[in-house]
Amino acid sequence: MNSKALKDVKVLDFTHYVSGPYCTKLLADYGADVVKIEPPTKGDPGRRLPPFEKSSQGHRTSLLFKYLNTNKKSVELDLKSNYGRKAIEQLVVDADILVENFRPGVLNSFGLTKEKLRSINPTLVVVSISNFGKTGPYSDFRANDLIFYALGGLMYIFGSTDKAPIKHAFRQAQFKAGTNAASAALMAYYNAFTSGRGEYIDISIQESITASVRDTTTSYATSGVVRTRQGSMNGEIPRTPMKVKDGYIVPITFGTSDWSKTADLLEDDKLYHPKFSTPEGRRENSEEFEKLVRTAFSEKGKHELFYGAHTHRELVYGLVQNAADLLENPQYKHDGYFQKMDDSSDSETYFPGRPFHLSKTPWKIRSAAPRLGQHNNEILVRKLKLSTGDPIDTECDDAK
Amino acid sequence: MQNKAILSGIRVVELSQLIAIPYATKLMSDMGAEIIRLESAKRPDAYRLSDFYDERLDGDYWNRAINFNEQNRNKLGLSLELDNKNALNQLYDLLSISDVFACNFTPRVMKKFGLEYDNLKTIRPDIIVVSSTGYGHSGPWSSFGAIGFGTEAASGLSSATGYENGPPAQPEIPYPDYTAAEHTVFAIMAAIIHRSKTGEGQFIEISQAECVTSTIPEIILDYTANKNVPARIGNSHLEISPHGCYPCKGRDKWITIAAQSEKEWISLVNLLFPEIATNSKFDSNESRIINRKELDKLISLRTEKWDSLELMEVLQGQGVTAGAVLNGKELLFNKHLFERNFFEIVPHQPQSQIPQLPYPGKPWKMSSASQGTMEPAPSFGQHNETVLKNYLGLSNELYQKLQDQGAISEKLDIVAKKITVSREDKANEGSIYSYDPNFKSTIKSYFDT
Repeated sequence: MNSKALKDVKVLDFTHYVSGPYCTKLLADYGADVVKIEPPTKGDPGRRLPPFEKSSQGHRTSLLFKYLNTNKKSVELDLKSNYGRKAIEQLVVDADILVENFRPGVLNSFGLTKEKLRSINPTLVVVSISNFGKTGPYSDFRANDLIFYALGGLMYIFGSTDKAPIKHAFRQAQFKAGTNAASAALMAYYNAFTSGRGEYIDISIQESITASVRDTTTSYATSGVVRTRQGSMNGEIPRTPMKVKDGYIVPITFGTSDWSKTADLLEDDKLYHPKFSTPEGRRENSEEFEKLVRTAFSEKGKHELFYGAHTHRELVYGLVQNAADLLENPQYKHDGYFQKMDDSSDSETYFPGRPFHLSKTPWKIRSAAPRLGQHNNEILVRKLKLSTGDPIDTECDDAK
Repeated sequence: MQNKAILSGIRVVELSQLIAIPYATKLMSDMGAEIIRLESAKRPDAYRLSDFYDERLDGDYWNRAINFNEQNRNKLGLSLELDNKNALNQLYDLLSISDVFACNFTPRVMKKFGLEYDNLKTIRPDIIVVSSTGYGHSGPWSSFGAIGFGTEAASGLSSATGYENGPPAQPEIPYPDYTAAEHTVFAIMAAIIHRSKTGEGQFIEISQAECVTSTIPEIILDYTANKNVPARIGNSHLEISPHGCYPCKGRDKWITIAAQSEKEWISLVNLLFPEIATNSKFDSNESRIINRKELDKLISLRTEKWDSLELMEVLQGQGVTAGAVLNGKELLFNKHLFERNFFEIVPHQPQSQIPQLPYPGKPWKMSSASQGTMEPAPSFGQHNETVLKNYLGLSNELYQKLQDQGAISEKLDIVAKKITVSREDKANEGSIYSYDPNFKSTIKSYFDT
């Protein structure tokens, strides 16, 4: 039985940090053969990103790197050296997909221009991920997730109107772009596979955000409205995290008949006062209403509220969970979602498993993230029949 | 020879609502897949019933619903009441000639209409069936309804996000729906590739919450390895300072700045306040992290004298990581996005009298001319005849019968919800940033539509 969706899909991976590695992780975890090309000695700088696991020898292992590089092979090559270029040209010959997230122009500087790649392999799909794409006035701009949120349009509608806008924690923009890059790669691969034509794909991390901010631009284009962040409650239960006795809950209600159900859930007699029974009444008495509601929530437990709400179809409350909650969550447990990072050791480190389930070709970890250069011999010597010498030495010769 | 759109020949039928599936199939329809969007007059998509072009509520207002039109461009529209046996049989017939069936209702709905994978594969053995739900297709939370604000909370993302010492925070969009949709496109494409090589279909199970958790490995890794639970720190960064959002000249204008290296810090400090360049409180990243709050205040005093876009250009020109915070209008008119033709100019149904307008484009650019053209979202029931008569060969008589039974229709029998607060009043009370009554001419002149 063929249990890998992307069996025999060969990926040449020139990526580093987060966006590119997440793209090739998705490909690898669903069965593609991914060869990660890393600069000799130093490797992907993502190898030095937190969080770390402290080993007994005292050196730090990046857990994020280990998460992002499952099922890949690592080969050290200096792309500026003749040896490196020769090896790459050989690897391009039978690659299906090449993924890179260098700054625009860097791939060309290694001699890997579109024309060159096309002449070696006309059906190759090349995916380039960069901050703002390969063209346009911002193409050389520096960025990180903070900047993508600002220039992508998600930040302005995030937070309170009386404070500076904020962003999500961590690196959402880069994960988003990585996911989109992986989808685009498969679309183009599918086309190359059926039509024999290769493709060059330009992914801008900014645009991954801007494509997915709902009506942020559309409300202006269609109604002249520029939306903003959260203001006061104004007589409505805000669907924003609310403090409860032991954490936070997101009180999400649908429709107009819901208030009585919310009042039932909160079990506070004061909330049944007729002046709060209509939206107009709640709006007129919004200050008093807000105070009562906040107090009522603060006296209840999060699980009581969450499970209580979900006995009604209209109350689709959210439960704010942290890592500890998630590890104990019955649904995630049912799905077998969290995976032990290293089965062979007694480490208790877990990481997120399948992002989704494919029934016939399931997500699977077949090998842990590679050590730097772990597959030098396998790929360079045994597969490409290049010199038996250490490729790093060869690179050093070349640099003289 | 004209290149075919790269996903042409793939047919997807979706029983869907809001974003999680519609956005996924929109990304595929933009690339030439044929998407047949099912709708019900009895249970219309909530996006048919709110936010209309220029807030017009007359006539067939549901065909002018902006979020529906955005998520469903380039699709065919088929209205079918599935509680009618004949209509449901038409759907089974349609699925027998389709590649993918995608659904983001709860498992209860799929079961009720016999739309589970195990049943559908008897109709078409190599079909690909997608279930996208808040928390999972089976298991203890699978019956729970969800929208993005709930799944975002559950995913773990909200727990780490928010102002310092404040509650968890979420943006004003159903954020996880997009993350789930992006993963759904990948999942469908992987399944299609597998099928094209082996002939085997399969069942795809998307938990929207789990998709998001996969994009925040940091919280799981750091907790299980080191027992660290991340504090909410707003825009700050544990290892970089300055790293934040600072006020600029004008109402609600902001700039984000991140000094990612010592070199960037020196350029920043020389531009904004050279007098503190040698202050020992700020002379290394470590000391700047310790004195972050004081530094952020100092930076704010300088940035508020600048226009945000101008300051961004100046800082970026000197190699400093910076970005203006763009609101919806600034984003729409952003020169970089404009030059990259990011926004797609999408037409509307002629009878709607809406001009073609810019909508958010695709999150990728492909070099070959192998992408689809932009067609409007379908009006309600627009392609009933095309699909039922042309694709499925339904006779005029049976078509008429379905119509008489109310199993298909081209209109909704729901009165539009009145708009209680005008756009002007919303702008005055601050629940929106602004309302521009001249938006039509502004859009027309900028995008030349």
